[in-house]
Amino acid sequence: MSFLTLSFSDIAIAALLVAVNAGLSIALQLGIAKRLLIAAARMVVQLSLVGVVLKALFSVASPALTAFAIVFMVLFAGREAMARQDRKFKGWWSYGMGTASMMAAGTVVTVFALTTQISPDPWYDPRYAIPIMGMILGNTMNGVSIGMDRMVAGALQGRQSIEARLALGADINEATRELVKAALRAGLIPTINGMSAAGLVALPGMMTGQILAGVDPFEAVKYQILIIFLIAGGTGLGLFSAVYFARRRLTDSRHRLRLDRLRPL
Amino acid sequence: MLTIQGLNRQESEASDVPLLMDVDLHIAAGRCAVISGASGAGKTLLLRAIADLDPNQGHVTLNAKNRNQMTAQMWRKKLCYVAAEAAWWSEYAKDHFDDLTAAKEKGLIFGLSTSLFEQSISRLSAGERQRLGLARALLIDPDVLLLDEPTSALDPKSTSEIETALQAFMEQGKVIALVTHNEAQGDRLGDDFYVMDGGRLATRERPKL
Repeated sequence: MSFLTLSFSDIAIAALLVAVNAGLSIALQLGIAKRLLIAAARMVVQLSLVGVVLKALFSVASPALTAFAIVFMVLFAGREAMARQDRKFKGWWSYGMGTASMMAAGTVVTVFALTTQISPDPWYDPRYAIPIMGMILGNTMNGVSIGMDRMVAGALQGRQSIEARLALGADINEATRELVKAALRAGLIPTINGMSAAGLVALPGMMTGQILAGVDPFEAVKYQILIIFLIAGGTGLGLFSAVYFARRRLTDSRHRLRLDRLRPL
Repeated sequence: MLTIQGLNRQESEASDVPLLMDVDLHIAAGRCAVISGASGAGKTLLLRAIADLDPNQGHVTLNAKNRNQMTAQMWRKKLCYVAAEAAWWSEYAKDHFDDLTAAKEKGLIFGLSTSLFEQSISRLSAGERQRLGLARALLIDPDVLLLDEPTSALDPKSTSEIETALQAFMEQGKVIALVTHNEAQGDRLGDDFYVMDGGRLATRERPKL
């Protein structure tokens, strides 16, 4: 396997493109030059740190440190998923439900992939475990945040029709069936669209990375297909879990709609 | 007979702000309790609490049976809350009824044509929707109707048809809790009179028209 290594000056030249963007923003008075530059700087710092951390983790290959890194990633994903919601539950519920769903879905799918398909030795080898968990989490986070957001927004919007059914003696499953279906559908659509367009509209990032790193394109494609299946599985599991958690929290044992459990705007 | 003792409701789980305070209400078989009061006094909240649509505390029984001994679904089928503005969950009127033949028969009593059931809800007038909402509630054959301004969108003829149907409902020994601003209607249907003020319910004399 051979690849062309990049020097720091190569990266600095590419950064000129961001500087051009910033220049345009100033010229056109868009008022986003500062944000653009801060975001670019954050990206460089964050990824450099990740590089350092990954290098250290790979060299020790400790199960405890790998698990720690994964928990850290999940906690951040939970925060990000919550930040994307317009209306949140009171207390820790939004964060807790999103994080628990991503933790469960990400862990199940990653362990499944590591023990049955990719089979590194040891199975928890951080070189495989961390990137796979990262890719699954990144996508599951989208599904979970869209699903929960749609669930809460739908309950607020459809409150009267849900309560009309409850008032006529419907149980909460019946009264919220359409709401749950809409939230699950919304959360799964990006995954379906991503699969339909894979390779035609854009080459997936991981595959491109492997090809640039000298991997045979067909091998890279096989990996990419596997990862897309894992992502679809993880997103589905995380989404189902988050939507059902949210439904539980939005209702109670007396089959009532509990919008009072949401934070006021 | 419907008996309510010491009914309380707070704003939310974590809040102490009371919305309903120590409400006592007793409606004997075949009678109608008329509840009046300013907007925001808690009339709608009271009906919703009786139907157990919002969390609340208190002793509520129907024919000596406590609501906690029944599932929420069974309770709401016996005590049906009808909102001032009926809500819908499907596009066509007919989709809201399990038994369309029975629905059409009930609709005829309220002056609704049978072709109306084939129409989209958005094409119906406010009055048609209100009558359809009431027909929908009567079709589940409840023992108690909790009515929130049931004829607010109706002309005098339709109002009279509805009131006749409600009288017939009470003649079966069934009970109505009626929230209305319409004092003449309260006088025609009511047996007992209450006024709601700041979350408290008090009895009052039959209003003199």
